[in-house]
Amino acid sequence: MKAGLMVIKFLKKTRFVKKTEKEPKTNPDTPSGQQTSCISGDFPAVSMVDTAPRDSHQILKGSKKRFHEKLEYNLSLLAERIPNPRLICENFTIGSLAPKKVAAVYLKDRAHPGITAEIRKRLTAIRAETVLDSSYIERNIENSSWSPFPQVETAEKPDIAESALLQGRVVIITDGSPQVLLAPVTFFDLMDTRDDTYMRWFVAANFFRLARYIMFIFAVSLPAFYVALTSYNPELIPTRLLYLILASRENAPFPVYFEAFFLMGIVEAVRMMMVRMPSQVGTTIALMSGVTLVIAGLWSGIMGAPVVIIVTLTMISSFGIPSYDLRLAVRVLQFFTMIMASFFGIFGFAAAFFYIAIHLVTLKSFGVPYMTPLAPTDTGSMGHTVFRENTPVMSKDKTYKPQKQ
Amino acid sequence: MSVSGNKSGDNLDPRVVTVGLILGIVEFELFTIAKGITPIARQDAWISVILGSVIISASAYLLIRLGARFPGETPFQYGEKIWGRPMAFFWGLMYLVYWSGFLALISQEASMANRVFFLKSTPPVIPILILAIAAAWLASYGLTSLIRFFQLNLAFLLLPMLLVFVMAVRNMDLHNFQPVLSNGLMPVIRGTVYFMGTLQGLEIILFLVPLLRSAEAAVKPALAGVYVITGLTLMQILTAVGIMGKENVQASIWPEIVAISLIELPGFPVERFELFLTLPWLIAVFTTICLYTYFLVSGIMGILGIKKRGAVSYFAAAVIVLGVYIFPNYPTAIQVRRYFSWASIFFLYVLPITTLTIAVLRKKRGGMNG
Repeated sequence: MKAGLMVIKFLKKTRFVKKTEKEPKTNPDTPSGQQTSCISGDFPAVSMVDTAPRDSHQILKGSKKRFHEKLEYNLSLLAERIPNPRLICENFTIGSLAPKKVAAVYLKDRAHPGITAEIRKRLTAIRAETVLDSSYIERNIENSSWSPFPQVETAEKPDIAESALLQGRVVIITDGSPQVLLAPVTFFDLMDTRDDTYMRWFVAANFFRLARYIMFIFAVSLPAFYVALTSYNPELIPTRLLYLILASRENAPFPVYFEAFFLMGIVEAVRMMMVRMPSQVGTTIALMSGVTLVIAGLWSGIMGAPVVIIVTLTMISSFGIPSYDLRLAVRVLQFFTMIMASFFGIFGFAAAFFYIAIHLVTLKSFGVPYMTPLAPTDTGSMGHTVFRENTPVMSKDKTYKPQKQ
Repeated sequence: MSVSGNKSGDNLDPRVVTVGLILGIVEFELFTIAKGITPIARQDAWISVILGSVIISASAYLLIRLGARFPGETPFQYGEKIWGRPMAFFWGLMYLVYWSGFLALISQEASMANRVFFLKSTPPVIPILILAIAAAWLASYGLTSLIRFFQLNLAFLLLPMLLVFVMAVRNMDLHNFQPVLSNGLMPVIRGTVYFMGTLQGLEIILFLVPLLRSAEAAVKPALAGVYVITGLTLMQILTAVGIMGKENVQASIWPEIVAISLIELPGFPVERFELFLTLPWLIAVFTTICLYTYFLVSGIMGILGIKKRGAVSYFAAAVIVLGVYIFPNYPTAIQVRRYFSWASIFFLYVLPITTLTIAVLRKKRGGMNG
């Protein structure tokens, strides 16, 4: 206990020192926080390779352009999309040893002054030798670095950044990073995809968005719920289904929670394998390894088929979450809910959700409650966030308004 | 004196009163109310609930009027102006005892139900400790965060209950409610008073009004909240009495849950419908524990002038945990709960309405509206 407290104190201390260390924070040639209009005649050239789309996700509709590692080019992309003098760009230079240019872009009169001021304050407070990537900026400006939930959104496409600007959000561009940061962010921004926005029929867009919310809940809860029901309250499972589960586990040597943890671990290992290996062979090897392990486990009777179905469904559901950072959070939270369910059954499962929900309702991104417009409820803003309303033009909401508590 | 710990500079939308009332008041008693009210009003329990909702609506209106007379002030602050400092301090202490007692009772009930339904061999103190820490954590963020938590959980409370009721309708027997008023009006009136006493948490109105953008606009949301609670209570009574009959309701410990377990829908993939009630039950109990933890924390800070919110929050958590050990057994807790429902009439209705009457007679008003 005492050691734990010491570790926390140490971590807090190091974080505090990082922010208050007296180092030269700016390059004297580039004044920090200088406001200029983004509109200029220059449009820096970049190579074809740089603009070719990555395969991080499929593009069904809309522009295929993406941001590049050159800050000036990224600014030009935004200026090209919003050729308006109200598009303001604040320049910063961060890093004492290898300074990097960072720009905060926003639309004057659209972005809340409180939010722009807060972003400016947090950017100028960064004390670092250099900024390797925009994620370094992200972890320095977010409200809570302990939270599993991302408090800044990352984007690769200029049209997403444009949409964010029009909604009154701020785009933070880091020189050397092809991903820009969008702040503030709410949970519903992270569940949004541009395909929803570009979809012709709003009913389909809402249907898929609803499906995504269900997939999010499945991704966080399915293995835990299975463990809770089968381990503690099997009487709540329909009889025929219960017989099937029991039959499949007849010779299983391990308890249900162990099977679930084991398979979830394999899924994570396969994921890591796919990321780390060259794409030509990585997918095949990872798939083969996963499938072989599962088939061997099932044939030998070491694991039951229901747990394979549950874990596969969880994995599929987790890919329904569009944001990589949110997906990452869910992957960790899966284990938290599973641990609670393994120890305390349905009660532990519910308690885990209470803890997650408390964290979500108290979390903020630059003063904006994370779960807005659901909690605090603002039905007027739900059309563009929780759902996609049927409007001929892009709807505007007042979601991005900082609140004191 | 501390402003009850609400340091929010934000003004809440008056509509939050609806969600505050629903999640704050609905708790485990909703699933046992049929057992409490049926011995009194018999098959006319549903009339008692409807009648009670009218009186509770009027009381909710009066509580809003009381809060609106003192804009931006907490009950502890204007209590001193109305009653004078010594009497306000005495009533404040009485409320602290009331809230602590209720917290202890509800934690005992939660512990018992948890032992029966979920964790048969786990020591009861462990699950309650998990809930208590979460409640103290949430309460330490203040009422605004509490309301956000309620808003997030509202759908998970209401939808399963509606679903279960829709499924139960087919199994109800209208003969169980007949003959109407065969025992006269007095049992119905006594049932009404009992129902009024079960709405612990109504005092949230007094705590919410100072935070609202407009107190006047809170009347309709408050009425909506009362009617939703009435609707949920009616649903539970209709399900329990309609399926089991009044005699069996009295014999059962948790009549609503037993009634739900009797539902059969051939062709529907779910067999045990009580599974749907576990989620609302857990949410309802936890949100009420959170609200009363908040009341207790605010009360201790406001009445005793203690500033350390975190420490007070975890003291409240200790009260919740101790609640598991205060009552020797569950029947005793049920008995105490019955007395508590009668005592609630005084704390929820008599004392606040008397306070409003004195404020009107003595022409006491808050500083902000002269």
